Amino acid sequence: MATKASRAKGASRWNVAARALAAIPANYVLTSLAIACLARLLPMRPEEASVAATLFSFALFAVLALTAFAVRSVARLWLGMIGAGLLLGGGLWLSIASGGRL
Amino acid sequence: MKEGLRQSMAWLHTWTGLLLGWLLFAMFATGTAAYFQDEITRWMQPEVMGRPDPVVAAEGAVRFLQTTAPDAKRWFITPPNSRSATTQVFWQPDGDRPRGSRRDTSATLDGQGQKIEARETRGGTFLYRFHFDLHYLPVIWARYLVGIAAMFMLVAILSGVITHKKIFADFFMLRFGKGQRSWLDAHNVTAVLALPFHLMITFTGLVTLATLYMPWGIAANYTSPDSFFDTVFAQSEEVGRSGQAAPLAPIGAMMRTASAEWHGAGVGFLSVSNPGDTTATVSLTRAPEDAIGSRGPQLTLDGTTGRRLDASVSKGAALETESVMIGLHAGRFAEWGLRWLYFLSGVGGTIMVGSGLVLWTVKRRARLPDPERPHFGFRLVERLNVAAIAGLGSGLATYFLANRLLPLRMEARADWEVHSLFLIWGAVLIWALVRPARRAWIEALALAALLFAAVPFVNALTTPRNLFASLAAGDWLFVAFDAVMLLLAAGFGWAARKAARPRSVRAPRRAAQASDTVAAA
Amino acid sequence: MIHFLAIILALCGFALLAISMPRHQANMAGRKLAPAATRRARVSGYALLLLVFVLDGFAFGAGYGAVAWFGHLSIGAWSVVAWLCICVWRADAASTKSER
Repeated sequence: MATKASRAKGASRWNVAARALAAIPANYVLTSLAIACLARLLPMRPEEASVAATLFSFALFAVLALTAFAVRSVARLWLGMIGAGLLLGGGLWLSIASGGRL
Repeated sequence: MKEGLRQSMAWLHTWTGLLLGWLLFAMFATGTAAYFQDEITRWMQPEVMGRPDPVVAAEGAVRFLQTTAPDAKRWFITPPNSRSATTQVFWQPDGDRPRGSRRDTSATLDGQGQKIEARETRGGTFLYRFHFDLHYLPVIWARYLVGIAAMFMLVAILSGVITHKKIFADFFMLRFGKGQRSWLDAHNVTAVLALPFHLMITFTGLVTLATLYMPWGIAANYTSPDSFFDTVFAQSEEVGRSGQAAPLAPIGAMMRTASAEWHGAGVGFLSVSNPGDTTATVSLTRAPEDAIGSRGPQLTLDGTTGRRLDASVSKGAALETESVMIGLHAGRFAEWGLRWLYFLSGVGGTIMVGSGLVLWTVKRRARLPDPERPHFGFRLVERLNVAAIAGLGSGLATYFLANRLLPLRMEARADWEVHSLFLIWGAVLIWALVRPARRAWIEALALAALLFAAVPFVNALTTPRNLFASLAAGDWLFVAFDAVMLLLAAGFGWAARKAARPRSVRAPRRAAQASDTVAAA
Repeated sequence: MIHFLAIILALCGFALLAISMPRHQANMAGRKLAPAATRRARVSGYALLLLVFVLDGFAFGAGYGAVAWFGHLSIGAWSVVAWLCICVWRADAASTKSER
């Protein structure tokens, strides 16, 4: 009984740690990539697009942080975040490599 | 699935709220006070009287600078607004000279341009700076810490709304004397009634330092942030002095030109480049109290002829949105009715954070295996709550008391006003750590009540501007300050009395029932 | 003056919304209301809050009006909460008296 309880506690501790890592550092990286992509894609003057994307970033970060704790499966959460990160990072690299910066 | 979501959001709400809750409490409390920063500064310099005219004051400031720093590279002048009594000036010495400390290149002037002889204090400005720069900490670390806390707050607000959809059903419920239920009501009512304010203030607070927290939107389009800022804030290029002396055109006329251009709005900030030279230019910025947007339009005039050289172009939608968001946060545009409302909403937010912190312990106390000997984490939270809530109250009251009690000619007087705040705050923390928790609550709350109550009396003993004199003179600023101090004293006193009352015996069972409905984590 | 009018309207709006909630009806009206009356109270409550928005918008312009609207709503809602607290206190006092 006691071991079962402590094992459940240990499992939940790992679960929380994995979600917190996803919700804070991984989320920051993912949000930054998404914002950078947005800043390049928005059809406005560059300074306007940069500011608009930056304003949006806090809403995105908050929603992603909530999502990290809302979804059922931690594995799927991380898979999704890594997948999205690779996609956005690749897109950003392509966009900067082809278009350059000011 | 639904229940699972609510539970995980409740867990998130609990822990994001708790982890940096004490910092958030201090940010909310001092930020709320900062809505009256100009008024607090006036109270803390009781020698300074009168409501100077900004144009006359700016002309006086120019006279002062012409004798004090005639060969400076730039002068910066902040004339008094409708709430402050003094002109702030500082100047950038000519390139070759060493910069020296800020005290050598700045001054506080009265409405005629005379240097003010008043007690040295950081006034309300300190409270304003503390709410995002903290103190005794490198500013950059403090700002990151404050940003993380604000983001926790945003997540706590959103997860709180998701968890407790019932808060909207309990919209008008505030029940006193019902133990945990009452704490929950207080938390709910202060949260829900000002929910738009809380969301606005947290989000716009993040926006004020957005490029620090999230520089990647700019980095995506610009190789260096400087080129971004150059585009956005078109700074006039620095022009070297020609060496030919030429008198500065009357500054009052320039301010009237600018006001006419801005449909009557006042000038909030002036900078003069190369004063006294043929290359002089004057740039004027609209006063922040005349529109919501924080970055007002600018007008640049030729310094010797007053001819119009350049005006800031109107901003795009995104930059305008950012400017309005920052303006909404700072509330500089608010006249007194709205300003009090900002203040009251801030008080509500402070109570929301404080009651949330207390609720964490109240909820858990009933479920402790041995309520007489709580575990370490519980004791820590309980004591930090005492120190954060009652301790900050005592500290703020001490800050005001120190302003009246420290010797007027004391060395580093302004610094010691600030130190005294933290000395008392730290003392309450130590007191809370060594005393039994409930006694610590009662004693710390009573101390805060006593100190706040002492402020009007000490003011009456040390200055001629006591409550009755202020009432007779119609000096509503001093009347209101004393009244707020007495109200705070009453609030803390009431809380101390509540804490001193024996806890009801039926609380545990009630609490257990309530926790089912709350879906505690 | 417009502030005062807006606050009074917001107060009435929130009072109607409160009375449309079954748990407050006993305290405010002394009895449960019929479903039709409850619905009327709710609809007119929301309508009043909307009216305050329109009023503020015309009086102060869109930007400042929206800020003022939130302010007026807050004061109105706080007043209703205070009023309900007094109602509950009175009811409690009356019930303890009758128990004795």
